[in-house]
Amino acid sequence: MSKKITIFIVIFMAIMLQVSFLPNILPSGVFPDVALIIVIFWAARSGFNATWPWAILGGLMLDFIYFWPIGTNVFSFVAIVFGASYLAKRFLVADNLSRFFIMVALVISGTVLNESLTSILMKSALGETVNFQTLFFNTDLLLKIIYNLLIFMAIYVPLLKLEKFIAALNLRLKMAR
Amino acid sequence: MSQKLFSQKRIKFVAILAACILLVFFNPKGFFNPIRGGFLRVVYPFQKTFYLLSQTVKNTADFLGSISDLKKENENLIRENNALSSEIASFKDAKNENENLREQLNLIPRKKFNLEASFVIGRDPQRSGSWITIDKGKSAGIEAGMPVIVSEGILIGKVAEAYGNTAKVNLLTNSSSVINAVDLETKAKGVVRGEYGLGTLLDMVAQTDILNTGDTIATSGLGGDLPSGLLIGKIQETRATQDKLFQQAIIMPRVKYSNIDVIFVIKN
Repeated sequence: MSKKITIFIVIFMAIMLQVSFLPNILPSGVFPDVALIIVIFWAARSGFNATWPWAILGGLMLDFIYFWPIGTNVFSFVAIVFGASYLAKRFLVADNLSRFFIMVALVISGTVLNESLTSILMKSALGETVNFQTLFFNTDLLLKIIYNLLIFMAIYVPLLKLEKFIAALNLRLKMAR
Repeated sequence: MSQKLFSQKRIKFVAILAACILLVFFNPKGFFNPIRGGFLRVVYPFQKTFYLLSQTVKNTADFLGSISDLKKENENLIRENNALSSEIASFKDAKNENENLREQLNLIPRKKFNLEASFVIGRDPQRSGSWITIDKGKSAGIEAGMPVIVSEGILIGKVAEAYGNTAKVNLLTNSSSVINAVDLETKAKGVVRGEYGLGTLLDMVAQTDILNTGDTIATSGLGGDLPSGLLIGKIQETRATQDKLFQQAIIMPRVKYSNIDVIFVIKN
């Protein structure tokens, strides 16, 4: 239970940071996807079965707060979680540095996939035409990838520590029972 | 083989995606609004806290960045102060002239508006931002359709959805935004449309009307949903529509929407 509460708080805070903090700090008009990065991290570490409920929760909160059609971010997050857990399992390595770089690759591809999926879904739902050329070849996407990587590098170690903390918490609870 | 293909994980994955597609494309308009309203009510204090925190960080960063310039700025300010004192006199004349012109143009004096000041606590995540979230809602008397301006009486959009403590404001660049407008210099009338978050376009201007680059565009007050005389922007470029029936003009907004922090909702 305490593990679930901790994860919920982390995702909620990430969304608040993404929605109401970073947009006021970054003048470019492009903001990093903090919640997505956290979900990718957990998907790569814990697998699809342990992460999909959090992907749904995070996506749903973003859909509510962004006034987007409900399901848009959920679809994207769940698809990315599935892909990230699948790839992480296939490229499983023991070396910490290599693991970090695999995670970097997952963040980059996750960012591109998230941008594409949400844009396509939202525009299709609103009856607007999707311009694939501007979807993939624009400076905003590049900037978003850079921001996401910076955020990922900043939160990678804290997330690892959080993971250890949650594991220790679980162990203590089990022992107490 | 088939066991692997139809694993529980894959079935779950496909089921979630299918449910999402159904929700995105087939949910009735406004069906989730009560849940969204409840959720926004819960997250409102957090959004506001994070917004205020971001302002503090931003101000501190700006202050630290400007320390080296302070001495130079002080000298400039003293010089400017002297120049401004002499300019005040001429502004008094300009003020009278402005009031006369506003009367002639039938514009509502700004002080007559019942304004509700509000902070921007959320934005469209896409760069071509077409909406913002503000920290006032139904509890402050804000309703859908109310015009939203910034300090200089510049229209930036309309309230699209109002919830308890927050409201979504569709900016003029939003594809659903259509506003009756007038060229203040030539009196040409048309409608200002949002261009999918990319800009605004003055459309449906008769070929007999005149549009010049640099002309000021304001709300015309036609239709009654918006007061007249709210500034929208300046004409950047004019062109004829493809069928040559009307003229169009690309409007350069007076403010950069991504930099807006404080807005005013016109309540009356």
